[in-house]
Amino acid sequence: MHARTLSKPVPQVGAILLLSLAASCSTNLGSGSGSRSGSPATGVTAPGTPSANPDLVPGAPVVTPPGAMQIPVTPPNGPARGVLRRLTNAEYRSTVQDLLALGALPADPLQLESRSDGYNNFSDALTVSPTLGGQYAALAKRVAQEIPDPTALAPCAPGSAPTDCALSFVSDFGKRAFRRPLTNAEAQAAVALFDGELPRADYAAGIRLIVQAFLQSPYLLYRFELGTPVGPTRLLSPFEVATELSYMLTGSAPDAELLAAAQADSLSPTLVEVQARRLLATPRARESLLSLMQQWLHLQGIKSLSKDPEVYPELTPELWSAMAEETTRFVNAVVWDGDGSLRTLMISQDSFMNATLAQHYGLPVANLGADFTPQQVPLAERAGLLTQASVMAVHANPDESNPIVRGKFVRERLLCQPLLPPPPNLMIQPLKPDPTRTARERFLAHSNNPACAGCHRLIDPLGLGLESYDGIGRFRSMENGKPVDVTGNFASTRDIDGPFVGGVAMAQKLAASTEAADCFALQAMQWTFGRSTLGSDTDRALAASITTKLAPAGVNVRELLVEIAKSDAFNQRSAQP
Amino acid sequence: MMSKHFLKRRSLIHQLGAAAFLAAPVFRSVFAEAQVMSPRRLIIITFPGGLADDAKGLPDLSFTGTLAPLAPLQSDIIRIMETSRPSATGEGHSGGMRTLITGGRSAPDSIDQLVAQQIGSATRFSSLQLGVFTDAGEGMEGLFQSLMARRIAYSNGLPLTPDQDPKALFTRLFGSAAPSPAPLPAPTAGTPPPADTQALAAYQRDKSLLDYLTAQLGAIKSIAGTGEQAKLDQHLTALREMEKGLMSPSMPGAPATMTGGSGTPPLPVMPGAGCTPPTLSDAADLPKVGADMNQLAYQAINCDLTRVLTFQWMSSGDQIQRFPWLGINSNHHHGLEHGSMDPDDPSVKVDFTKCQTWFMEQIGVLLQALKNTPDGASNLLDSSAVLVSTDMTFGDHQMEPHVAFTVGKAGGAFRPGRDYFGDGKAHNNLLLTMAKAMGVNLTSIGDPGLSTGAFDLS
Repeated sequence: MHARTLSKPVPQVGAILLLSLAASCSTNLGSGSGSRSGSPATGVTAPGTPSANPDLVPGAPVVTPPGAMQIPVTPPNGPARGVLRRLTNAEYRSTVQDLLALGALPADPLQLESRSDGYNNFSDALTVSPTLGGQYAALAKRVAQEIPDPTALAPCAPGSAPTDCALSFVSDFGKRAFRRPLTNAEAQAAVALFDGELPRADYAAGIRLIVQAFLQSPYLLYRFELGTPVGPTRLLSPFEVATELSYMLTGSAPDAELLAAAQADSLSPTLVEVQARRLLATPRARESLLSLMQQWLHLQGIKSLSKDPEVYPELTPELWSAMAEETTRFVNAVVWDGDGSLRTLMISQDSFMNATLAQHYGLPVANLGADFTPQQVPLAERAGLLTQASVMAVHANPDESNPIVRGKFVRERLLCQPLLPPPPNLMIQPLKPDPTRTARERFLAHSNNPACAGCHRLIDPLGLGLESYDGIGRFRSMENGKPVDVTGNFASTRDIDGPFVGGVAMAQKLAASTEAADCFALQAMQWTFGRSTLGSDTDRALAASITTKLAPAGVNVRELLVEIAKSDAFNQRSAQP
Repeated sequence: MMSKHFLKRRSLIHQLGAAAFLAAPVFRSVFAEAQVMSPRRLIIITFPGGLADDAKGLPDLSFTGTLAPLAPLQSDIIRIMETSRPSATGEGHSGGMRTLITGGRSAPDSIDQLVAQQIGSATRFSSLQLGVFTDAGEGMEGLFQSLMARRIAYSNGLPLTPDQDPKALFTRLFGSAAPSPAPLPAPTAGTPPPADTQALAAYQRDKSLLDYLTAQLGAIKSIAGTGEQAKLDQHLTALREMEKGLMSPSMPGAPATMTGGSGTPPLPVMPGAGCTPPTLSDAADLPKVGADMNQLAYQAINCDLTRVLTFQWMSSGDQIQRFPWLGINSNHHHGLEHGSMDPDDPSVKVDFTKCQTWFMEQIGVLLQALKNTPDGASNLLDSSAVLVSTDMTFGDHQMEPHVAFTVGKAGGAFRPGRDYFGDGKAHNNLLLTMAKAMGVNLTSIGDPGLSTGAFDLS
């Protein structure tokens, strides 16, 4: 059953290895050429939509990505298959906290999520390992034991049969825990736990045991997106849709109003919009969107990063925190308090700084303290998310900038053109550090090498355009005593091919690109659906239809999330297993 | 000759009473086997990113080079030379690991899991997966370098998440540090009533809970598609492990320590040391976490908690982790891997060698500790089949010649202290060899056509 998945081709759009490039790159280059260390990629895939790339080989064999041993969640065409999505640790904690109206949860550890393509919520990477299972059990037990008064949670009037009281509690509590009404058999199974406990202990202990059971029940741990067959597809139930929507926009289980809407069968794709807009107005939507933005931009671990202390002694934990905080405040200000447009995210000069960050940016620090205040970044130096110190510092080496890592980031994360690993037995040589040359001079050598140029012309000219930002995101106009040349070039894109000069111009080009807008939609869909979208024609078509619809008024991030929630991809699954 | 495990267990069992002992399958199997011979153990240890090359352009497997820390164990080692890795052709840093351990691009199960399926029921844990900072570079890997392919163990097509948090693994192996009522075995017909009714109630409560959860997973399996079955099976495995835990007494004894000074590897001395929960460093940096995991791995074997253990040191291609305790600050491991291949600038190769030698020191700590521990007529290393390997040959994605060596005698299946030449045969056969040493005879593993038969290392 697993073997057949490998013979199944990966979608054409996602992973076409350029045969001509593979051939040229597999040449043994010997010494003195090759890519800088830190560059994993020299192959490239076709862009998702037709482009004038002469290197594309129509009908070239497709390549299966590593790790695709399972039946892929996402087929090349048509809806994704139905899945069980284990909650992320943050989702689990919020869910338990909401369920029991707790101010805080014990900080007992939960095993870290495995990431897939940078996201921590891909359904095929999230399982319940023995360690995590044990941690759920321990946490559930502790939370249940710490409930101050179970009889307040599950009242039982004098004279009532305890089993009846337990059943009443199970029906109500269970519906919120399972995010749907319990079947009779399910309710009875929970009551049986209670009944078994009574001879051993008292009523309160029985209620605690029910809570303990629900907090580690697979019906709570997994978000069900299985659906029921309707014609050629499976339609998610109203409760499944309510759950999907709630975790997307609030990071937790549906609230009472959303559950009521599901109960009333009022969550058709058109009616889901009403609930989506309501949830978008809650404070939790801000946190949810930040998790998308941070994972999209590789910023989730930024506060624990470190660099070579000899090269960057000024890089303190406070500075890392300030960089992260700028991005957080900027995203919040644009998406929730500003015009909400993707364009503004990409090119705005408005930002937030404290003294630490302003100093890092070479700006006057007078009147600035530890608190963040609205500030403008210099027009000639920075624009939007791309050029923020956080993004530039994360995409760099421990001791210097890394144009290839940055070029790969732009190609993969901002244009959604995933890069294949280099072909077999390619001698990948590093570039010697050279205090007399700029990075461009060093990189030009291998970009000019015909064996490498085919691949690296797609990566290097993007990263070299960002050479104004050093390894910790500081702006610079000189490197090793020479002026920094920041001319760059887009190639093999849908609509922004051509030269540009510097990060600001690059950001402006990306802001004008429909391919980049589609890419953001695809990334938001990856995060929403918990699966890869880059290899699916159906997903790419949905992304394009959403951005096309929103384009006249400018692609608005909030509206984009609403459109995703209204889509077939959100509400339907494949009839295939 | 009875092993010390048996003696340890026997005194435990004595405390619990014979009836309790007979009801606990874990002990029974230990009892039966201890009378005959020491059990064999499969231990697979990986380090990231291959080796630097030697003067001949081959991976430096000399005991004066990268393997110098293992020189004292030279007589326990078989260097596996001249094997190939057809299944890994074209893979990068991540795919190198999956093909290493499964022998293929499409193989659903890794060799350790195939072995555990056969022999795992004899111990408290059918297998364990340990990792040290394997996810440090998380997030930067990109679609085609997913962590899904970087894991060291796979079952039914799904990677198994390694334990990377020493405290969490400690809890899993030895139970909560907090005092808890003594767990009791399942009451069976004809057994005398347990003295401690409170403990019995706790057992019954936990058992009913696990039955409840197991039944739910069964119901979900019947409605979920085929693509979700492996995930649900992993969850069921977790529940089964907890159920086994209800019937195993937690480990007695005072904590023992084997930690060395700050920044130095722990001293490999514990001859005759008992089965005791280790004292953890409670630190978060890689060297200390690694030392903690070494201790946990050692005790997991020493206490016979498992006989199948994988231990992954980092993932290659990591673009985050530096090595400040070795004075290496300007490169992460990925930079070192690629930089080591620059013939014009030997400085990075020096750093890379330093780094890989450090990994060998850590691996040597565990191996030496096993060797120093008596087991039956011999020691724990002699009864173990250890495979040490890496995801690629050189850091620039070269996959051949395969870098691997075995350690230990595998209870007599291996005759170490020499080199074995694989004549270009696929490394899949080395995986078959490891399984065979464990008494698990497989005819093939991994991609079709690559398995020609286990190597004769005897």
